[in-house]
Amino acid sequence: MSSFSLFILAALLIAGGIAGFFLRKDLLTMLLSSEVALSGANLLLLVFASQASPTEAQAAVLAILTVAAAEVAVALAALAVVIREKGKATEDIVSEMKG
Amino acid sequence: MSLLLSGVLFPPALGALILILLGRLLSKRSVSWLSPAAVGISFLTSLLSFFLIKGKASLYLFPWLSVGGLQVDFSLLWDPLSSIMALTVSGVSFLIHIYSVGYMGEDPGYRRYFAYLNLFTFSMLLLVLAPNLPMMFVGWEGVGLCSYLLIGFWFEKETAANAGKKAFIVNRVGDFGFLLGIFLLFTLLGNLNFDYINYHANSLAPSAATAAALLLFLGATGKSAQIPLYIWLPDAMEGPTPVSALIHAATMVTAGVYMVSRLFPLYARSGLALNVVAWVGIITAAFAATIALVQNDIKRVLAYSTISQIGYMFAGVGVGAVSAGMFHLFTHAFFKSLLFLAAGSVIHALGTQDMREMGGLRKKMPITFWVFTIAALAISGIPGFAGFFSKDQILAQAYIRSKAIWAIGVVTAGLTAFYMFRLIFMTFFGEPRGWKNAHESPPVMTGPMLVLAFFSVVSGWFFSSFHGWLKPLGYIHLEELPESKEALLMGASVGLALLAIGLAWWIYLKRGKGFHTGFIHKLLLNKYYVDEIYNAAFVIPYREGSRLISRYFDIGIIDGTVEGSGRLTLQGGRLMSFFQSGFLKDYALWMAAGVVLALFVMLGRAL
Repeated sequence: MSSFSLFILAALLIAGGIAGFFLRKDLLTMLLSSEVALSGANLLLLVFASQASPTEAQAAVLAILTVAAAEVAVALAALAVVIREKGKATEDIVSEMKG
Repeated sequence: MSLLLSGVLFPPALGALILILLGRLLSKRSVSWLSPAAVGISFLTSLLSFFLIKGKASLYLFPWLSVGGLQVDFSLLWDPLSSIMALTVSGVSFLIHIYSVGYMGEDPGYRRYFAYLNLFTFSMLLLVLAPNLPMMFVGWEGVGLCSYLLIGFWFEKETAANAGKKAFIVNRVGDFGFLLGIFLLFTLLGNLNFDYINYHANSLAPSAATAAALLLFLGATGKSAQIPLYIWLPDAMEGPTPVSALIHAATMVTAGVYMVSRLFPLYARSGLALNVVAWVGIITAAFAATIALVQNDIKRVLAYSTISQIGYMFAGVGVGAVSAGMFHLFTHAFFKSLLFLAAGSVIHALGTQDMREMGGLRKKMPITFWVFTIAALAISGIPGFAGFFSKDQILAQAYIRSKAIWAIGVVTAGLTAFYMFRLIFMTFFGEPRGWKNAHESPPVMTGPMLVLAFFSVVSGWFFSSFHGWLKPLGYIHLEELPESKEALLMGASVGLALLAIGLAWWIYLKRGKGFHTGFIHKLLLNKYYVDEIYNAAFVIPYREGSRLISRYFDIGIIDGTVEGSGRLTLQGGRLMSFFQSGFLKDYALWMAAGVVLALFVMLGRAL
């Protein structure tokens, strides 16, 4: 695949992720959407890496993937708590952090 | 030999320290022994030093201040002037300590009282033995503090608390001048030792010497209650009577005279400064004496009399007769403290200070009556008694310098005799007015009074040896007056004094009531309205000014700034909390918006 089409794919992933995040009310889907956007960003990094300096960007992608895995674990745990406490998990029922 | 000097200075300090730290643990009896004993030791060592130390001695203890060009040592100076003062101070203080054992016997603040009294004696001796201005200033402030504490000793009484504050604040005004004088002398000479200042006084420009001398004299008018800062002394009578005798009659208030005598060459360098000293002194003497004529509070009469007599001392020093001024200080210490102690004895017996409620005490309190009469004769300048010799010297010396000062002095001597005997006739003669039973005071009180009575007579007999003793200072000088002239002057003042006593007798005993001649009487009774004038001229504008500043500057600007910054933070937080909606999507929206904005900026730059 040419790098141009990879750019397009990455852009689609990011846009789709952000759109999903804003359009869905279900916390789990929102989480998935953000992961999709993140994957888009990762892909973008890899495309740049193949063109310019490979090592730093690849290391960054590996780090992001590791952090994302950990973050998903935390987020899912938080989600589980929300469901247990509130009975369902939509974004409009958790607003305790209002300043 | 000079080590003796530490034995003069430190016992009262030790006594005060023990009383302050361990006072509660000591029995009343041991306080009654400890405190007078501390001062007694001080007195005995001064006496010993007086006989053993020939001429001058100084005891170096440690370097005290060493900053830049300023080098001040903590050392003690014993010379003819300080020896006389140390003896007078420790001697009178010792007697008054003993008297206080009786007078303050019933007071719940007994230990506190003696702690202050010891601390005072220490401060006064420090002032006297100081070899330089900064150390003298420490003593000067120390006695001021003790004076404040003892005037307000019965602080639960509002008048006493206010009197203490008044004394402190008025003295602050004087001390401000005193400090400026010290600073000026330091910039002029670079050294603050008395010896150095006196030795180099003649190298000063006359105008510089005048400025320094007058600034220091402002301090003296505060401490020694002269015009314009005398107003605190009459109010200071709110303190216990022995305190009035010790601090506000015999010792502290004469500190100004001592200071001027100490720095006489500096004053002599400037003719103007000496003239100011002499004129302020004599005018104060006359002014205070007229007020004393009509006061009804026995202690206030004595207070104005003290102001008046200190005026004489300043007049004496101011006309150049240091030994005469100092001699009056010396004799006055005895008879004036005796007057106060005897008045205290009356107050102790009757429980009132108003002479209109006394009368006829002569039979009930014979010792008090006799010692009071002796002291009154001494202060009135009746030949044979101490005050006659000292006052006469001052007047004779004044006559040579300025006939006007002499004339005012003689008239004041007449006024003095009048108000003293008015006091005696109102208190001890006539019929009892309003009291039932009076009794003579216990021996612990009459004893010191008898000793002082003895000195009120004999202390005046030694003027020529007193003068000779001070002579080594180098600036002690008396003008000669022809004998016939001197006898004439003496006759004039004695005659006037006798006349005044006769007049007092006629008015207050024979006629039985005083004159109440309207306007002048009212003016004098209200002390020329000086307190009211000061109130209107200084106190009220100051208070109102403070109020304005408090309202507009303090509350408006200072508080406004401080509270404003708090309010700013609070409002800022409230504004920013708009972003903290608590909803996940809002946060994400702001983040996305931020990213878009950042991209926009970056791309804009790149293109």
